[in-house]
Amino acid sequence: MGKRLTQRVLLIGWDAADWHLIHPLMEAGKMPVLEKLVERGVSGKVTTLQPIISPILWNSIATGKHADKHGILGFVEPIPEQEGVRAVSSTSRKAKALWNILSQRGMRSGVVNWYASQPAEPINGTVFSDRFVSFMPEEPGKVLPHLRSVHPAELREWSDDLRVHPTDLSLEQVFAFFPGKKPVDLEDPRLDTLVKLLAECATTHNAATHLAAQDDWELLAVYYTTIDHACHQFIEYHPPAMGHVSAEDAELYGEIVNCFYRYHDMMLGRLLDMVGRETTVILLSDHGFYSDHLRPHVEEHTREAAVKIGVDRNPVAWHRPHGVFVAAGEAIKRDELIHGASLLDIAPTVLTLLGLPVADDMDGRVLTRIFQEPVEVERIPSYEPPHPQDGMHRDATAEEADPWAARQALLQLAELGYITLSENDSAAKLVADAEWDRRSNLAQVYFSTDRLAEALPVLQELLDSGERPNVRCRIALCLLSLGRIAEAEEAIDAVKSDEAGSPLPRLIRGQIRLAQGRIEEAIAMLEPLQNESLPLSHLHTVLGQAYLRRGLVADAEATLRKALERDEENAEAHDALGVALRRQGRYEDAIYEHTRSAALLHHRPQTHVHLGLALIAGEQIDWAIRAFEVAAEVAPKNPYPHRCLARLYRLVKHDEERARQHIAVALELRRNLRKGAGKRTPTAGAAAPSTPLPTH
Amino acid sequence: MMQSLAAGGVPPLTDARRASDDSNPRGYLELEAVKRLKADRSWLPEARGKAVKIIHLLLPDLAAPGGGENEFRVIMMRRPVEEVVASQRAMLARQGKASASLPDAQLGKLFLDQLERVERLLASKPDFKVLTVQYPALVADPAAEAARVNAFLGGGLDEAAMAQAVDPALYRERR
Repeated sequence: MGKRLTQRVLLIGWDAADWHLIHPLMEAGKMPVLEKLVERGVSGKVTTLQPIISPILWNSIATGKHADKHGILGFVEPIPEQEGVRAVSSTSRKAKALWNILSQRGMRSGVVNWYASQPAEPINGTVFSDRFVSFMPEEPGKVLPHLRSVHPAELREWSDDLRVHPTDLSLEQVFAFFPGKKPVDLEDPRLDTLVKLLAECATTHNAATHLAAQDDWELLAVYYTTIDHACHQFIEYHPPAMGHVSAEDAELYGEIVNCFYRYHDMMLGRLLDMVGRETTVILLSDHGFYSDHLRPHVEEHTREAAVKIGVDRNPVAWHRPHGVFVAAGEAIKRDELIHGASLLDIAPTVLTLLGLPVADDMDGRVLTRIFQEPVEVERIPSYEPPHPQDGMHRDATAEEADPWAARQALLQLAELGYITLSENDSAAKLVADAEWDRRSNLAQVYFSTDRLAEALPVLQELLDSGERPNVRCRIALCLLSLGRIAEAEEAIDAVKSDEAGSPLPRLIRGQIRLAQGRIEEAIAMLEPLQNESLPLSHLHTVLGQAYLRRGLVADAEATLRKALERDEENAEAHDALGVALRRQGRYEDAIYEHTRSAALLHHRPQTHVHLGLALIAGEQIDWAIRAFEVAAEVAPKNPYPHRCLARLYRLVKHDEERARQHIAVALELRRNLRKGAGKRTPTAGAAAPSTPLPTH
Repeated sequence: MMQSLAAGGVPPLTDARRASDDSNPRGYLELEAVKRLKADRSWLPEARGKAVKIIHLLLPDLAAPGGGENEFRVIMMRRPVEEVVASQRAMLARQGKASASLPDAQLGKLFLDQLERVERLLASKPDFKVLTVQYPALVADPAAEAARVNAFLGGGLDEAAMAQAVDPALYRERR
């Protein structure tokens, strides 16, 4: 066992919490608890994973693994014994969560409302599953049937007392969320939604405070879903209200989201008071939430202009790719900003805090820079081999353990004519849609982690299962990123005519022209898209890169600045702007932009390469070496950073030995890449694909 | 088993919709309405005293609402699950259809789990009596198994004809 840095960890999840909303509240003194926590610890943005879907993300947080390893790939799964779907369950998770790892190490955990925690796992500790919180009896006080939503079983006798039913809430409590005008129409369904959210939130908090008071745990993991749900319901009213919102609604519902944040601050205060300063606290969100001019809207095109008529109902479109991260405790630095944290880093960091080894099969890294003292991270190959005390559902039936496989078995029996699955068409469609989403999300996981060769067959399967919008575009992007440019063009050519005129295929076609080196044509294709309904920040980034390739650095700068006006957190635009500035001899400005880009998206190797080049130009050689070293760490298979390092050591540092070492590594990596022929050829810019994959 | 029961004197309830094929040259003796059991039980009175072929997964629907007015004698035909998987895959291949893209072992485990769940349910139902017949045993010693089935169904069947109707040639795809 490694050196233990804390006696216990309180891990708090606030789904969708976003600094853009928190900062103004903290500055106004309206989130005093979080403000103090930030002051006594480290804080920063945490980068989310793709696709930005909460069950996937919270299970990556708990396991330190990507979704293809932990197996939670969507909101729902088939019900094994019948038609229809249910919320994704703990029996489907294939990797051990922190509480399973602690359990097998003889340590106790408390878990509240974590995504996909139903049925409650038999760990060493206590579990209130997500079903415990979300499943409300129709009437208050009505005893619910045993739903395997709590562990240990003796909790069943009294755990219903922790539930807050909507009817338990007084009008005064609800009206606290309306600091100005109070609602008059009590039948308004939005009020009903608000009350249900409050009840669920209070239930979660009751279970959390109950466990916090037990004082017998080493990890308490509590997940509050309410900020996300409240934002989905009420962010359109948040000031400045979106264009389609009436003045009356804006006045009435405008403060709801802020009030939920303040409510969470109060709940945080209660928990912190209970657990004491000796507990290390980590608070994070899985993603942010657009609350400003980037809120996705639906437009109606009139002859004169596009008019915003409502909100985009695709929930994923609202998720900003950066969430909140705060950590505080005796071993943690104080009042410091950190960059580059990923959701995958949470589990390894918690293990290190508790003196446990980190597994090599985890995808995240320990956030060593948050600690006051250097720590030595102990490692083991894996925690995954079964352990009698890991609290996984070892007795689950094969159907429970893999409902997707169970579905396949059912389909086989239907194919044989033994059963029919078409009695309930809507239920069958739900299952089919869920299966499609799962495969689509898996493709997105592969694509976003640069496993393009694995993403491609999954996308091809999706296409084979029936034509749906954007699948061919995704295949084209995949092929383009693999360097299979002719095939990418074929895929785009095959896009159905009614979809081909829409902006996305045209954008990809422009990118294909860029990859072909037909820069003028690319620019001619991309420029008209500025008037289309696209994520404009991304379009401007691609267009800016095209101008850069053409040597039009001033145009590139102007276009990339437009991209950043639309979205100041566009890491790719900051990086490309840095390149444009360097080419204009504005090295300090270039270094600033690359640094901002790296702070937003640490795992993007080309940013560190570009930063290194800007630092060389600015004659900051030692920092340039560090930048190329980071690029080499982030992209360990890429020879290019080593070539840069070799040149620096040879020509500037006159350190021939180190130069040779890097040349040797670069040659070895190049050989390895050639062995993997057919895969993409990395260049200085090779990294995760730049275009976000549309999923629907 | 359906052929054997018919030969012994238990008439099958069948709509004769599914014709014989390469997988079963003697015909299937199936009833399409069985598959709609959840929604339509109107054919059940007609089945009294007759044999109906039904897959294990649909037995819970037989036991569902309205249960109690009938008594069911279930002859559970068991076969090593590896053989079941191989047989199903071969049958689908002959029909040009795709089978589940799962490893045989996983598919077999799923079928066994389904079967165990159904058997547990039936064991708790007083209106269900269950006799398990192992398919390899039936092929190896048709007379003995015919006698067991006859006893289970209350006697009075032509055991010799039942045994005679067992066709070992259909016992294929053993792995």
